[in-house]
Amino acid sequence: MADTLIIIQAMGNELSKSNLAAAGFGREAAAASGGAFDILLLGPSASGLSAAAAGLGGGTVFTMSSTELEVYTAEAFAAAAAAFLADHPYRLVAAATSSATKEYFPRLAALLDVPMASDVLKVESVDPQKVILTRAVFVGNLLATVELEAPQALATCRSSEFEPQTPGGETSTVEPVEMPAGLASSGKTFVGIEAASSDRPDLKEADIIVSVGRGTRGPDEGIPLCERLADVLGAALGATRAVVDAGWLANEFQIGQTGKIVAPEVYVAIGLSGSIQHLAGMRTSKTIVAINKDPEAPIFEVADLGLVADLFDAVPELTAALESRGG
Amino acid sequence: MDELNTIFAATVTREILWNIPGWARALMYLLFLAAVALCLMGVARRVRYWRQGREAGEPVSLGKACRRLWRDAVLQVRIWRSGAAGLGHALVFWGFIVLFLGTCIVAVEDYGSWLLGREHLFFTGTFYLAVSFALEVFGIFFLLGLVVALSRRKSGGRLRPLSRPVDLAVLWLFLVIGLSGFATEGLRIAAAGGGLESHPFERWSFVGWWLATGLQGLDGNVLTTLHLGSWLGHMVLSMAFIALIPYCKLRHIFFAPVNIALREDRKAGRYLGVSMEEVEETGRYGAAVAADFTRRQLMSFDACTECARCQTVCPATATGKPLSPMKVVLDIAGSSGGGASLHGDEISPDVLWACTSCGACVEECPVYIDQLGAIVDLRRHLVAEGEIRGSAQAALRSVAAAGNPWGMPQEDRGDWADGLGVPTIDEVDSPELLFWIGCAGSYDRRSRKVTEAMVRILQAAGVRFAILGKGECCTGDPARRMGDEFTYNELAGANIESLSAASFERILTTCPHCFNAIRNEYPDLGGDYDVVHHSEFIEELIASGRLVLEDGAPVRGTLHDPCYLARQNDVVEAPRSVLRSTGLDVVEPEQSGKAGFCGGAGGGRMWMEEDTGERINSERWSQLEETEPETVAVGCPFCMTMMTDARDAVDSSVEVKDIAELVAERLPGSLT
Amino acid sequence: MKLLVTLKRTPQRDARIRISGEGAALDLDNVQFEVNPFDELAVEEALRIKEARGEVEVVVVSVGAEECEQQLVSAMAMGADRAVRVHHEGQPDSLQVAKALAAVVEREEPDLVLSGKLAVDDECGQVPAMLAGLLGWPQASQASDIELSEDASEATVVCEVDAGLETVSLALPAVIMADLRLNEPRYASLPGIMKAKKKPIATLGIEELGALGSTRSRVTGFRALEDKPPGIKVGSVEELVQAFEEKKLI
Repeated sequence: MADTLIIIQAMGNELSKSNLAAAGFGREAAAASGGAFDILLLGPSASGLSAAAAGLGGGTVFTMSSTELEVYTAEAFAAAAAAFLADHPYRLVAAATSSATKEYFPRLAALLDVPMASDVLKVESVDPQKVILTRAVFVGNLLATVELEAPQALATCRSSEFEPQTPGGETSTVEPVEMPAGLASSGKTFVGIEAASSDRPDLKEADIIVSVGRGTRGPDEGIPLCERLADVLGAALGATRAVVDAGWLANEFQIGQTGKIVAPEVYVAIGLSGSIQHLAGMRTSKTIVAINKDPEAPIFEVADLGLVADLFDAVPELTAALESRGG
Repeated sequence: MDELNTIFAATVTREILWNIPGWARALMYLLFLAAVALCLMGVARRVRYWRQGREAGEPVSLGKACRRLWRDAVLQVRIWRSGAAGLGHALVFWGFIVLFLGTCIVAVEDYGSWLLGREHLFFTGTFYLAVSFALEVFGIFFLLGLVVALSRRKSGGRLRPLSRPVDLAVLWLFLVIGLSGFATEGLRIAAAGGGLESHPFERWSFVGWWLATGLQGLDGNVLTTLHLGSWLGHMVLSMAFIALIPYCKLRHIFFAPVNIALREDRKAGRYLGVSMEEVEETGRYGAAVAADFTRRQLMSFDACTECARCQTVCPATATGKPLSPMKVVLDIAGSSGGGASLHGDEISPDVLWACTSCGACVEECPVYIDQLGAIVDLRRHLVAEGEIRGSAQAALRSVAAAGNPWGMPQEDRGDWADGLGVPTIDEVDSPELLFWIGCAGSYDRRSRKVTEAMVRILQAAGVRFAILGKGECCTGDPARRMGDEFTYNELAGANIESLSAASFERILTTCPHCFNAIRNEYPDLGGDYDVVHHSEFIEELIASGRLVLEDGAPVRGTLHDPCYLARQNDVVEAPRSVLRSTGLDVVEPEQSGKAGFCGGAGGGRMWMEEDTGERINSERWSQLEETEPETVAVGCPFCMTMMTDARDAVDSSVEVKDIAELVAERLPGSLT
Repeated sequence: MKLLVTLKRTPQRDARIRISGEGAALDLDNVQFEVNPFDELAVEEALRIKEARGEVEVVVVSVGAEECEQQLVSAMAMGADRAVRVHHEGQPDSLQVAKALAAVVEREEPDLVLSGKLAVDDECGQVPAMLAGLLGWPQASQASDIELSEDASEATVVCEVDAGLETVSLALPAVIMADLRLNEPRYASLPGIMKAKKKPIATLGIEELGALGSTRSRVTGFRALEDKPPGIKVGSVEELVQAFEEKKLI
């Protein structure tokens, strides 16, 4: 059995940072198993992305697209991946953690009758009988060593923990694969999607994130100040659960145990106290900056740089200072 | 003189129902029967309503009932909290009673003399004059009282009564009855044959006499017609009044004394518990329908005079919340009973969750209705239905699962004591004090400083004390106030087990909620302990010389009385005396002591969002600010949080400190 | 209509979890347990469907040892009608749990299976999707709103995905996974607990259900996160900007 397969959802025009990090996982797994990794591009833009994917250091890049895969559904993607793996067995099949893979990867594991590890942080070892991985449990407070004892296993990997591979260098072979016919109709119909369109970088891609908490008091008060700061920094905008529950920002901004888990270069936490659930989503950021009126706020325990100040004064001041420096 | 008396004795009287023709008398008897029937029907209807309630509570002894009636129905002590109200009500009350007695005397005279076939029975001579005079005086009192009542509605101060149409209508009804009574008398005196000179003894009815002299000029026929008209008006209105009694606020005439005398013995700080077994047996928890209340509770709601004092002193009503204790009471009394749910748009969850359980309503009510008890019973039903959400539900779950409302680990409970040399109960043999820390004092950063200050005080005074450490869990107060007796019973049971296994003389606590629960409510579950609040204990230490404080610069300050300490447990002087020893002579805010205004955190509200109206703590803070303090002293961790938040909201530089902290600052060696 | 809700017994959400000894296991001695909060959302949703439609049976199911009956009782205290427990003493892996649940589904034939999207202890989030795969049913995850059609043949679900809010339509029977903003669960107190004691809990042995396979995913050790070196607090915005420059953040 060949070693590792990285499955990438091919929906857009570019390979996202998560996809590049998944390739990084592939590299790590390949190193641990003493083998190589391949890539499967699944989705409408599979052939469009194949050239870039071929420069990621994998052996072969497979592409698979069909009408059933035009719109992402867990049922179709799991079925397609299962069909592919029936003809091309792999020891370890992985993908970056996303709302999509959280949904279809376990389904795929059931279809294949293999064990799976979710949101892996590190590859410890890969051998023909056993894969040992590290993942976080109990709201990110503890690390657990997980052993998957089976000749084939699945994993989703936390993209912030793996080195994104830059396309270029070695080139892999590209092999288009036909989607087998007769994939059962899934009983699911996609109705629509409401997505915020923004000039700001995607939360999972951004190097800098400005994150807002309840202390900002809402879209009529502190949030616009933080948005201006984000603009000057070229940062993505994030939020705590409290902010989303209050309806101040949409759910896609939420960072935390439920929501997105991120680890940017710089995480600027404004007016947020730092609940355990929120920390679980950002504590591995390289540099954490906190601005909060309350010196005892838990966020200061994980912050590298902390400023105890009223955000309504400090944030505009900071924005102005950065602007005058040329940002 | 004897001759005069003899002459007078025979003729000093008046003809009862003079100038009243047969048809008018018949009308009077008819209307009287109808009025009495309506009145009795109304009373019967209310009594039937009460009887759907359940039996509960100890019967009241005759002696106790009489003592209560003397204090609150005769002396009417609570009404006198407003001097003008006390006066006005007493005037109307006694005026009415005497006038009523007068009518009874006339009736007895009339029927008695008819039955015995005599011309007169006793309503003659000196007796007649004395009664007539008394009726004049009390008639004036009656009218004066009504004038006071009306004028209080314009300018009544803090305990000002309501001026709804029904309130004004009732007062005017009485005024017209009273005035028409005098008018009828004056017209009779003026119109009776022979002129005023023929019955000079009528001077004793001085108001009627005065009116009669003014009416002298009118024709005899005119006078008799006017007299009949005035009498008819007076009669009809009086009968209407009798009929109306049970159908409006006037029902308090009957039901207030009954409630005052027979009410269950309940205290604001001591809720009536209910066990799992009871709930299992009856399938009932809390009040969903009228029948879930006790009979005496239902009876008490009908005692309401609609004076609205409870509403006036309620911190929720004062800050624009939908809760008014009076309205809850009237809504229950006004429900159709039977299977009709009390809960709905009028008694809604928003109304019930707005209560801080401060007890101001109970303390103020002149007829001793337990509004808070009703609210708690209604809340229990909400909890039974699972209708508790958000942060309040989270706090309840945490209390049940982790033993404190913040969900902090039980094993960390004694951590605040690290390095302070505080022994646990197993390390000390029979200490004088078991220092009960409470959840806030154990876990809340700010409150821990108060705990530490108290430890320093105890150590400085050489008191042998110990703590339970991990063996302590929440007293269950938040659960009980929020309406979850199940969780309360579990927590209280666990604490009583720990306490009973330990030996100590007294329990000391810095939290009035713990103080109240352990002292007043734990005995119902078998835990009887001598409990003292830290203000009381420090007062003892200072008085006995065990604690000596250093003198220092005086501080200008005020005290925010904790509801659970001052109002519900009568501890008012101790904090003040202790503060004086620290150089803080309390400048009293307008509402202090037992009439203090709540800080807003009681009743489980500490864990609920406050998003309607003004904030209770901010309202209280503005009251305290009027005393221009440098420091606001508190004696409770909830008050501490509330006052600190209110202070921060206005960016004030006034200090907020606990009594223990102020004392600790004056310990020998502290002031350097 | 029959709704099946799966739930897991998890440590109380605020509990401090300690590692015992060298890290091979967890010290759960002083820990209280509760219904996994995400599963509680699923139970609440099922109850709301029941209250809206009437004539709905809500069955809760859990895989585990006898202790998890406490959690089944909690769910029935909220209002579920009856419970099923699949007896399993050890630490089954997600696929085994999914297989056990699939067997229960085959027996019960519900119209809809509701579950929390993940369990707060292991946070794997695999079981419900695996169950859907085993059954061949459509699935929807991270549900923040669920609406059933009049004839209960279809469910329209709003899902919180990375890009925003996605709406999908599922033909029933299906598996739906609850997320935080789906609803606010009710509090189960005294009278509910009283009634729950009288509701039936059926116990099924593994032998009755068919092969679950062996446990192929296992946690072999725990360790705490590494402590981070403490950060510094600056006194002003200027200092902050300076620190940014020194760290080459901008």
